[in-house]
Amino acid sequence: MTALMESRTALAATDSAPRRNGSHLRNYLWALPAVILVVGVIHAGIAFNLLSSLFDWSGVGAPTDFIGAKNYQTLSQDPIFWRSLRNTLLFALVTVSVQLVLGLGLAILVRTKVRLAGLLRTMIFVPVVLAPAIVATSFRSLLTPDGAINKLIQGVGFSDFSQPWLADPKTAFAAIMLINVWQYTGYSFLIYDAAIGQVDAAIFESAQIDGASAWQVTRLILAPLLRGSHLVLIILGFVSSLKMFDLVYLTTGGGPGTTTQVLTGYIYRQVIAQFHAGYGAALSVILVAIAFVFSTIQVRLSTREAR
Amino acid sequence: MRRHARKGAALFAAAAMAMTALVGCSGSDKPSASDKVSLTWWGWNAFNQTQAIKEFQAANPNITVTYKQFAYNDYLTALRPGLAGGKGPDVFQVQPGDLVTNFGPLAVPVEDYLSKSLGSDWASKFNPEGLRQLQLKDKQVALPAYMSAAGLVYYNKKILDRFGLTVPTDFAAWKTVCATLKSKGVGCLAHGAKDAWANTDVFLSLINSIAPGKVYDAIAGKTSWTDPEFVQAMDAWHDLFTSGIIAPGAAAAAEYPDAQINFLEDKAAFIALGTWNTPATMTKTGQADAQKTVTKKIDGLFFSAPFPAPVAGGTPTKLFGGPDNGYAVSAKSSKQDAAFKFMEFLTAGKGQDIQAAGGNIPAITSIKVATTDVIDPRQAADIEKQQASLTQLVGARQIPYSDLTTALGDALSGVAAGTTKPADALAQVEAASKSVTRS
Repeated sequence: MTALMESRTALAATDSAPRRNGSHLRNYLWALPAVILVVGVIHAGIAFNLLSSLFDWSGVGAPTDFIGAKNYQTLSQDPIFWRSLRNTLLFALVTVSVQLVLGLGLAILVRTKVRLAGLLRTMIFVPVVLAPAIVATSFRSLLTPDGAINKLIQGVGFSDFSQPWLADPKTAFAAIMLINVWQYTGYSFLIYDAAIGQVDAAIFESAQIDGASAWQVTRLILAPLLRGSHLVLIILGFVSSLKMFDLVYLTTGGGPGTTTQVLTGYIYRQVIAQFHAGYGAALSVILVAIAFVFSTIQVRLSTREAR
Repeated sequence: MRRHARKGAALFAAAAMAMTALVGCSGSDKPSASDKVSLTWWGWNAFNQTQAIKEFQAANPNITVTYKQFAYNDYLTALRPGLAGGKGPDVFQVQPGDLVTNFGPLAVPVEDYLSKSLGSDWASKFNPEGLRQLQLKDKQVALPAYMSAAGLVYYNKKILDRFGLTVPTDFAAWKTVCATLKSKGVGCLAHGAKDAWANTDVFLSLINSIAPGKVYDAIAGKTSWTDPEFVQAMDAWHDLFTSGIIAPGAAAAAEYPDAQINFLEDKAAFIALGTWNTPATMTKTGQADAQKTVTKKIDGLFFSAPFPAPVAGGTPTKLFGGPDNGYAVSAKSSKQDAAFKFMEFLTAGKGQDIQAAGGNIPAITSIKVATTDVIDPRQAADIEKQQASLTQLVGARQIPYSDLTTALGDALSGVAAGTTKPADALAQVEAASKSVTRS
């Protein structure tokens, strides 16, 4: 009987093998447009960028002067590159951390019995949909020495604290990070708000009956339950911080000096203003490598989370 | 499934046939001699391009010109593939310095065409500095649109008169004027230190007053940026920010529009700009255009003066500059005859009259800038003086080496912000200068 079944199974397997292979092939064909797009645009672009980084190239005409890894050697000794990299990472660390804490706090606030929750939700999220160019231009005006923010500070009696926020190297980068936090905290809020809505309220009620304080409920129950949301926000926040360009370009242009320069701004400057497309490509390769590390971490952790 | 496959194959075949037909059409689109020629013209700030195209097309009915305007940085991005790939402009705008260095090789030298068109002495018609700064390896790769120079401050005479002040000629006098203005709630020198070009213009005004022309030796690598004269100029630059001549907050302000708005709206009495600022401040037409960029009615009375000397009793700088911008013909253009004709119109023909009528100083020396449109009759003499000064320039505005331009820009920004000491900043510029490959 067993032998008969095995033989039937074997026959069936032999019979259906070509059909299954054909079906697999068709399945791959469905993915072909996306594959062409990703490979043809993104991967080919990265490959061309990698190749360009090995040339001393102005970006005009075809690259001809092959210099091997010299751009990378120059880059390792370039203080503006290191400053830009440090600023980029600091920006990611600070803005993502603050947005997470504020977003979670606001989401908890809205999920408790607060009045006008709908209005609060809208108000918190509105800055996210504003164009960065509008936000940057508005804050540039608000933060001038005679701008509204300094007038407010003077109005409440703290005249000594008013200053040119974006023009002073001691405050310029912090001001830029604050603008970003103002704009994108609504995004963290939205994710947390949705995630908290999925949690069974009975869990919190049980904990309260057992005598847990609000802080204990948040720290020991809610925060671990939102692990997936933390992960998504951290990874997406870091990757979008790496791409951050418009806010710095439109507020300080990387100055005063190079105190607020970030990696994308420095790449832009090298390629467009200084005609160093080869060197700019080498800088871009570093940026892609960092983004690749974060993307890999995201995929690994998401997979583990799904299991 | 098979039916779907057939349908797909039919669609593909139809698309392929359509593509073939389109390719066929474009292949047979070569214009014959009697056909109309369409030119594309790219730029970022071509002056009164509508009038120029209208007049050119009226004189050349078989040529149509389409102007494509870009923001400056977008222009640089678009021009690279445009010129290299042959799908770009027939005529394109350039600036002395980096743009000539990098895009000059993709332009057709003009000598042969102009010799035939204007005669062998064609060069004598132009301001010599206008031609020199648009040459690359002894070839004239572009021609000047109009001339401009920096080394000036524009001032609002109504503000100065209101407080009984006069135009300062040195820093000591300027600081006194600024203190008075500050006490009256008016800013002194409106400046956008976020813009490296604006900082460089002021620094060149300082060094060209302290040691006229020496900076051009440093640019050429013949002298050091750390020499005492440069330290003195960098100290003076720092002094502008610490003495109250330039107000706090300038480091995050752009020259356009921030500083210019402050100046036009009577919030500041001075601005350090070049002769290109004359139309917006001294002519009725130019000021009407400028009015669109500000909310308050422009009611100041504006004049220009040499940028004050940093040394007490010193001589202010002579003007420095050259061609404000110019035009070139793409080597990949398939319509070079028409393109040259249009470029000649812009740079040596009626295009120069359009520039002169608008208050810009023509590159053709025989054409005088118009002074009939001035707001106040006294401004006519000011404009005429500017045009005369453009024949005695101390040097250029642009540095032809992008790395040196950037290093100087960073140095000036760092000193202005107080993050870099003047001597250290100059040492960084000198290091950049040594690494530059000069042709």
